[in-house]
Amino acid sequence: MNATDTADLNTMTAASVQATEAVDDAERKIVTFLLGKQTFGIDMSALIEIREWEDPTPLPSVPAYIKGVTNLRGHVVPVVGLAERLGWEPSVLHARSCILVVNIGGKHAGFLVDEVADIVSVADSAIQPAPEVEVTETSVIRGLVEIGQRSQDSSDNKHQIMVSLLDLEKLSPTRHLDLAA
Amino acid sequence: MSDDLDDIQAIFFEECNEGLATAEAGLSTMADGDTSADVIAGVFRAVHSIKGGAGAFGHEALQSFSHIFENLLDEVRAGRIEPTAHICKNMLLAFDVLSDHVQAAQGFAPVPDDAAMLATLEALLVEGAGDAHAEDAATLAPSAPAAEGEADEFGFMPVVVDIEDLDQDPDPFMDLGDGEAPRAAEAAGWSIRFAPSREAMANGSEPLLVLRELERMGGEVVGVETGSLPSLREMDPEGAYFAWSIEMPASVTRSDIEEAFDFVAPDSVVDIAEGVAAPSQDSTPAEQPEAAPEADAQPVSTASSPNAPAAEDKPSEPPVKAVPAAPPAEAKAIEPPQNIRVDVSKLDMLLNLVGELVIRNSILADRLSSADQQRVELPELARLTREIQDNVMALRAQPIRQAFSRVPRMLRELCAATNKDVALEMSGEATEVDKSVIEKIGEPLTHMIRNAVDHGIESAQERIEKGKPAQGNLRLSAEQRGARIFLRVADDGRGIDRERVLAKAVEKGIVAADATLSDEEIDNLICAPGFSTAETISSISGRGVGMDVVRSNVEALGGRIEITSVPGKGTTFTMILPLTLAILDGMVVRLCGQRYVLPLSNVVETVQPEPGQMRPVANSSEVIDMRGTYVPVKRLSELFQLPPADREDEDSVVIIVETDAGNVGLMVDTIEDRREVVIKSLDQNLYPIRGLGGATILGDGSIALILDIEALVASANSPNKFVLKGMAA
Repeated sequence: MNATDTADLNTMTAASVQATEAVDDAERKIVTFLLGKQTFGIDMSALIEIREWEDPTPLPSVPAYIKGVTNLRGHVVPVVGLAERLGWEPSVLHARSCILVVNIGGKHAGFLVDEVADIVSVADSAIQPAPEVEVTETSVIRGLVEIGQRSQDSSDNKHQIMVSLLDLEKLSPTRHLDLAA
Repeated sequence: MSDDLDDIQAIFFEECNEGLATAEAGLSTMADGDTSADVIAGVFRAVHSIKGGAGAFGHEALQSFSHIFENLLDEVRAGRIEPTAHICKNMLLAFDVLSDHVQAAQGFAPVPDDAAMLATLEALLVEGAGDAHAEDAATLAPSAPAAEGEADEFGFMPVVVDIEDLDQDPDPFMDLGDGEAPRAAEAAGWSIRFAPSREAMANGSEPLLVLRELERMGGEVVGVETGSLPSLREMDPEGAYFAWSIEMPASVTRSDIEEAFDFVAPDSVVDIAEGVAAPSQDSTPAEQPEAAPEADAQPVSTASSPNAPAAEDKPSEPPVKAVPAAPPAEAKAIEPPQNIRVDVSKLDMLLNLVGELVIRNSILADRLSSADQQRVELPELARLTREIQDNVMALRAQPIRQAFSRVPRMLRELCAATNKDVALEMSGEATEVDKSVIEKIGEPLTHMIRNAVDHGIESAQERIEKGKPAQGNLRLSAEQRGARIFLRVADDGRGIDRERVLAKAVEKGIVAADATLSDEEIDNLICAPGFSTAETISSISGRGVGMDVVRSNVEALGGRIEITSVPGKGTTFTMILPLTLAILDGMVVRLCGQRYVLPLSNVVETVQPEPGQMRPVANSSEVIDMRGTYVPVKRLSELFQLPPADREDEDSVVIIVETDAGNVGLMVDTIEDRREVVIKSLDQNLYPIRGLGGATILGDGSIALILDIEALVASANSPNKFVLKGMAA
């Protein structure tokens, strides 16, 4: 993660701490990001770093959503196009595209997302189970949570947005091996 | 404290496993007819060590079993029992039970039912050596653990309270022994002073067990020093404060005495002196550093006994200070065991770092001007780097014996389960390979041996009908050839029944019904996923997960499997594995903007095709004319389904590589470099991809994929294209 990313994250953390109200039950920090028009979230504890997009080394004979492998401080880490993985059109790369490098059960993987939005604390009790809307999506969504979005402009009328929390275990690029077996 | 104990216990189990390996090797040698004293003594020592440690850690079942086993070995060692084939066979079986006990002690397995084996051992003892020893065995085994449990909790309390003022009087301690008066007539041949370290009990070494062992050998406790005993208030109930003087009869050998001290904690004082010596009661602070503070407070050190110098004056055998929990001091002088235990992860780390060093070294060389490259420092640096690398690799190299060591037992069990008689021949056990390889070949090896015994080797009756010897033969061999290791499992069984294999494969839909396959291709079908010809599912093999698992495991290691089979004569499985899984001498090539690494060991030559040298044959295949020989050419871009390069063939390079299927040319864009690369396995974060041996990180931080030439060419040649693992989803 380069210096500006770090700075960004720090300000985000500070902002979210201010915005957080004291809640009794267990809280968790989630990192929210945009993909297409939706906001997704992953557990902050799984996040290793946020990297700028950099073309990974393509691999032969892998599903299209595995974009390749990249060098993460001496480790060879696969990069997954999250949009393709969810069965959507591939993300269009732009300046804010970045890779969320996460730890899934000791294995590292990077996910290409459109834009990192925020870090927020949510109470466990506020997370609702994912409704069975669409087979492909529910399988990778662990729950839904509503968060108040920081206003982009100066107006201070907060509006609620819904965040789909991803189940990283189910998104692990090693997972399809089990499915194939 | 319990953590410390766990650590020490972990070391004990490590030593147990080493001991088991030694014992098994020795027993196998004995079973093969070599019953020389050295071999027997080796086995005895190994079992004895296990017993000692087991006692110290309170593994009663293990201790009592190893005790009886040891008794039998002792009789054999002493020549009182003849090591006949029958005895050796039973000792091997006893060894298996002992291994199970060790597993059980570690909590990996339930405690084995050793009643039958114990009965057998006792019977052998009775047969061979008369009733005295058998009785001994029967009574000692159950009593020792019980006594030990008692000593742990309370052993020291009564002593302290009862005899605080009797520190010069040995008598109260005679109840540690058998209660008899000292046998003065039996002149003591050895005078021993034993002062366990203060932490002895905490370290799991129970002095009482040592004393009992010495008494069993005929020793007498003749004196106790209680000088370092603190007041009750200051006393650590788990501390060891006494020193004992023990006399041993001359009939006991020095090495036996030293063995009794194998498991005393480090820093204990053990003086063994020859000659008749009355108990020496004094302890000087120098002799017993641990006791120093207490010795100041109590005037023991001034009471110099005249006997102590007498013992020490003997010039022939000066007192030996042993550092216990290590091999006896005397053995140390003969073969200095300058070994240290190193965590494998530290070696892995070192290897990784050396790998990076190698890479940086070659990058540095690249960046320097040619004039600078000529300077002496650079070649010298390169030489040093390479030497460090070789040495680190040597640190990790282990004889493949480690992987072979569990085969004899496995074979015994397989033979028992299948009611077959199979002799095992092993060769090349000393071949050294990287530790990572040894760790990973165990499972494939097990599968191959199970297959050989279950499917390959016929029943004795069938063999006799075919005019073969009733006893089957299994050969296990290892051999190093260049940078590869060849591991063979060969049986003299019925060979692969190709008709049945093909029928089964068709039935299971693995191949089309009308497919025509060569013998070799049929043999390889047994490695196809989901293939199993076993008519009945046995507990040994035949669950259909055998050979395909073997193949994928071996391929994940960057190796491959070859099968040769002659109907009626036998089958040979050959695993061909790289010597190391860490560093590869490679050729860096460029293709469609990406860099790939080819293992240099595969490369025969490279050629820039002349116009007309490349010729198309049939549909979409090409050959290159190499001095009159036509070599098939594969375009790497096609194998990897990359966009076709818009460059002329004449601008490309063909690399001729050696494969099982003969030489093949691979067409790439350019050759960039020759370089040693550190292999990073893809399955660390992803999964193995067929055709790739892994990936490596180049000097500029970018990743280059390492090609697995065999798998690549095999998949290109295969008529029904392998389902690439990555494509499964």
